[in-house]
Amino acid sequence: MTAALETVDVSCVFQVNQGFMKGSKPLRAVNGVSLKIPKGQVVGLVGESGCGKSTMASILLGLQEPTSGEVLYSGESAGSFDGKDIARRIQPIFQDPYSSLNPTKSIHSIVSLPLRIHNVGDPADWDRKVYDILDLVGLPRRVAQSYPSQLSGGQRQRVAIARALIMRPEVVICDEPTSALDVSVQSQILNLLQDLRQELGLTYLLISHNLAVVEHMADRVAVMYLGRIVEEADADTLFRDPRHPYTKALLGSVLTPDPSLGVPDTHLGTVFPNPIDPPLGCSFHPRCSACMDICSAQTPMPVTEGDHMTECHLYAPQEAVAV
Amino acid sequence: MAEAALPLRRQQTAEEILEPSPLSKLRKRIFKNYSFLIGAIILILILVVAVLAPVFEALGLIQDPYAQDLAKRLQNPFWHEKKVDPDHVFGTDKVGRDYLSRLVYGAQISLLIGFSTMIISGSIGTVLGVTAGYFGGRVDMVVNFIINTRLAMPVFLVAMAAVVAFGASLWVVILVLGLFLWDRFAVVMRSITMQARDLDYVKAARALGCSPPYIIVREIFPNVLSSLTVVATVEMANAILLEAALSFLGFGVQAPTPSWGLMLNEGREYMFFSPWLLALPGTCLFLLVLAINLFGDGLRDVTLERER
Amino acid sequence: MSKDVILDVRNLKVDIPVSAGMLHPVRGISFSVARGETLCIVGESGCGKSLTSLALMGLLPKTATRTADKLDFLGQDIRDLKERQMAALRGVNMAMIFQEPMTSLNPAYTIGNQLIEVYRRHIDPGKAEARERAIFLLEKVGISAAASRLSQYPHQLSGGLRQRVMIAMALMCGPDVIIADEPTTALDVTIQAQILHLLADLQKEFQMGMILITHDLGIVARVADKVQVMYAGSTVEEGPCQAVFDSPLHPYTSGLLRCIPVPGKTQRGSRLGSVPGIVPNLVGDLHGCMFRNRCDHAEAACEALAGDATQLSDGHAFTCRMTPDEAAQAARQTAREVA
Repeated sequence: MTAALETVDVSCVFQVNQGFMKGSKPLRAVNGVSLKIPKGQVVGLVGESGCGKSTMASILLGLQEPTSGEVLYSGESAGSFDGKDIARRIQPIFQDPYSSLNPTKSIHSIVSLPLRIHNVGDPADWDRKVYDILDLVGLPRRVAQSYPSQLSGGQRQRVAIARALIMRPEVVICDEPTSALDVSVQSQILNLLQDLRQELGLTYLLISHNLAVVEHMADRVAVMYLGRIVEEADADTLFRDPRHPYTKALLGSVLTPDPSLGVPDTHLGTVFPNPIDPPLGCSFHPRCSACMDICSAQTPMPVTEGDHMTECHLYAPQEAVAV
Repeated sequence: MAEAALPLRRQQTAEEILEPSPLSKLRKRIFKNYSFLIGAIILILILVVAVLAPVFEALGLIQDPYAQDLAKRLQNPFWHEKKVDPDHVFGTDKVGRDYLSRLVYGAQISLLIGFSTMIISGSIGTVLGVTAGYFGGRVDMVVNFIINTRLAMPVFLVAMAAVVAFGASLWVVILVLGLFLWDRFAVVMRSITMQARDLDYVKAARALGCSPPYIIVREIFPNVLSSLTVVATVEMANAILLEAALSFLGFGVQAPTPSWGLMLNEGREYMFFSPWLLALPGTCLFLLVLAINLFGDGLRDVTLERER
Repeated sequence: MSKDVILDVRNLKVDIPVSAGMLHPVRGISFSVARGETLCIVGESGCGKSLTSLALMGLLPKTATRTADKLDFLGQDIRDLKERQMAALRGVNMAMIFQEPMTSLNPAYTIGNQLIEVYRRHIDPGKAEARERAIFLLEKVGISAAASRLSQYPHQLSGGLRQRVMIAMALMCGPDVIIADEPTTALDVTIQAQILHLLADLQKEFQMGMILITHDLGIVARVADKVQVMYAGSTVEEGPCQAVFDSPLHPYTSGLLRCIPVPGKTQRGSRLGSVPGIVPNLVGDLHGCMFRNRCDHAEAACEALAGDATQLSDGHAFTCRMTPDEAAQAARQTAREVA
C-alpha cells in the first residue's frame, strides 16, 4: 500500500548565528527521518519541545525545503508538484486558534480563502460551500459574518478546521490542535476530528506532547528525540510494550487523574542537551537511566522487529554489540 | 443584564456569540477617546477651511492673499485697543496684505506639503519595510543598509543643498522631504511585518499556496495598517514643521506664496511693534501640529487596543 | 480545627469595575490550608482561580476591590494590612511561583545575585551566609554544580532549570505557604513530572502549606490533598482529593472528568464526554447556579439556588440543587452515556 505521505531520510539543517563575528553553526532540526503516513490512518508524532516536530510539519506542508532527503505524496516525489498541488493534498491545523485566524478578516472570508486561491468552481457556489463546511464542523451559519475576535477559542479552532477541510485534502497535519484549549473544549475538538475522519476518510498526522491525546487518537505512534525518530510502532504495541528508555520516561510522565498514584519520578536528569551541540553517540544517553558504555561512543542503529522500530543499543542484535 | 440572557439547559449547537462586533467596539472606543476627538475636530476644521479657501474668497469672506495695499501696512488685528480696520480682522502685513487670508492659504500649503510628503515617503518606506520584514535574509540586509545610509544623511542640509541646486519651489520641497522622511516608515513596517510573518495565519496562507505578494497585500497589510497610520501622522507633522523651518530660512517656499514659515520670517523684523505677525502663524502651526499628533496618538489607542 | 492551619479564607470576593458594569470574577471562595497540606484549585480559564491567588497575595490590579469575611494568615488578620506590611509578608512567609519562569526572573542579573538579594532584603544575614543558603537550596531543587550556577544568567538555563531556580528563590526565606499558579504549564511532560515531584518532596520536607492552581485534572489527582473545583468565580465542589475523583457529585466536575482521555481506561477512538457551551458573563447582578446553561440536569429551581454547599460527612461538599444521591446517580448516568 502506498502511503498518503512519506518522508525518506529527510534532514533539515539550519545555520544558527553564534553572535557577532563568530560565524554560524549547523543545527540539525530534523536528522534523517523516514516516516510513513498510511492512507486513512492517524499517525501520532510525540516528543518534547525542540525535538523537531514542528520542523517536520513545515517540511511535510512544503513550507520548508528539506536539506536532504525526499518527501513523497502518494508515492510521488514532491519535486513534481508545485505549492498549490501540495496545498490541495495537505492542510494544517495549528495550535493557537488566536493567532491562526487573521483578525481583520470575516469568518466567511477566512474559510473561503482556499476556494478563492485555487479558483475552485463557480464563485456563486462559494457561499453554499462555506455554509456546508460550517455545518460540518458544528458552527452556526451566522458566524460567517463575524470576526475572529468575537469567537471563543473552541469556535476559532472549528473555523481553522473548516478552512483546512473546505478543499477536501487527503492529509491533515494537526500541530498540537488542542493544547491551547480548555479541557471541556479539547474533548469537543477531538470528537469532531474523529467524526470528520470517519466521514471524509481523512488521514491525520497528529503532532502532540500530550500522550493521553495521542493514545486516544492514533493508530501508529512515532517518538521523536533531537531530530531522530527513536521508536515507532502501532499505538497498541507502543503503549503496551514501550522499549526505548525515552518512550518509557514519556509514558511514565503522563499524569492520569488517578488520586491513588503519586507523582512519578522519571529519573531523566535535569540536563537538556543543546541541539546545536548534540552529545556523541546516542543523543539521549546523558539523560538515560539505562546508559551503557557503548551509548556515549556509538550512534545506535534502528532495529526493527515486526513493525516495531527502536533505535537503542539495548535492543541491538547481540553480534553488533560485540563488535 | 447578562443574567437574564443565561438560558436554562445546554444548547446542543454549542457556543453562542457573546462579543459585540469589532466595528461597534471601535465606535465605542472612538467616542471615549477625547484626545482623538479633539485632534480630529481641529484637524477637520483646518482641513475644511484650507480646502474651501477659494470659495470663501469668492463669497467675499476673505480677501485676495496677494493683493497689496501699501496705504494699509501693518494694520492692527481686531483685539487691538486702537485703530482697528474692519476690513482686515487679523490686520495686515508689511505690504498691506490681508493677514487672515494669508493664514488660510498658508494652511493649504502646510497641508499640501504634509500630505504629499507623507504619501511619497510612506510608499517608499512601507514597500522597503514590508519587503525586508517578510523576506528577511539577504533582502533584509540590503534594506537595512539603505536605511542606515539614509539615517546617516542630515535631512536639513541635503534639503538646503537640493534647493540651491534645483531652485526653490514648493515641489522641490515636497520631493526632497518625501524622499528623505521614509526611514521611520521602513523601520516600523519592517519590525511589525517580521512579527506578523511568524503568526499562524500567515503560515496557514502559505500552506494554502498563496503567493508572497498576495500574503503581503491581503493578509499582512490590513494588520499593519493601524501602525502605518500612526507613523504617517507623526511624519506628516514632522514634514509640516520642516517645511516651516526651511521656508523661514528662505530655502523652502518662496515669496509671495503664503506659507506659515515664510510669514514668520517676514514678521521677524516687526516682532516688537507688531507681535501678532509672529504670534498668528506660530499659533496656527502649533495648533495644526498638535492636532495631528493628538489625532495620531488617539488613532493608535483606538485601533491598536486589542482584546486579551 | 486541630490541624495547624496557616491560611484561613472565608467568603473571599473580588470585584472589578468594567465599562459594562461590575465584574465579579471571584464570588465567595472559602478554604483553609494547613502545614504540610496541598490544596489544589482547579478550573478552566476564566473561572477566577488566578485572581484568587493574586487576591491572597495582595497583588490585585488597582481598580479591583477585595472583600472577605475572614482572611487569616498565621493567625493574623491580613485584610487591612498596609502595602508595606503585605510586601514583607509576601517576601518571607508567602511565596509565589508563576507559570512562566522567564518573565519572573530578571534577565539582567545572575541567578545567584537574585537569590541572595531576596534573602538579604528580608532577613539581613551576611553575604556568605546568604550565598551558602542559595547553594544549599539550588542543590535541594536538584541543580548540579550549584556553586557555579550562581554566576549564570537566566537565559543560559533551560525552561525546567529556570523553574527550579524559581522554586529555590521562593524557598529562600523559608515561607510558610507556597502559592503556585500553573507552575508546570509551560514545561514538557517529562519536566513537568520532575518539577511536581520536587515540589511535593520539598513541601513535605519543609512542612509548608501549598496552594496549587491548575487546569490539569491529572496534576490535581496526583498531588492534591484537598481539591477545590471552581466554576464562574465560585466553588462548585470541594473535598478530599480521593473522594472528589472517586465520586464527583457536581455535574461540572463529573463532566470535566469525562472530557479527558485516560490511557488504559477510555477506549481508543471512542467519543469523549464534553461540556458544551461557554462560561457565562460575570458582569452585573448574578444569582442562582451559574452552571445551569451548560448543565444536563438543570431545572427551574437552579435559577433560585442559593450558594450554600451540601456537606457530606468526610468534608466533601458540593453546590447543587440535587441531593447527594441524585447527584451521584446523575454522574453515573453521564458516565454511561459517554461509554
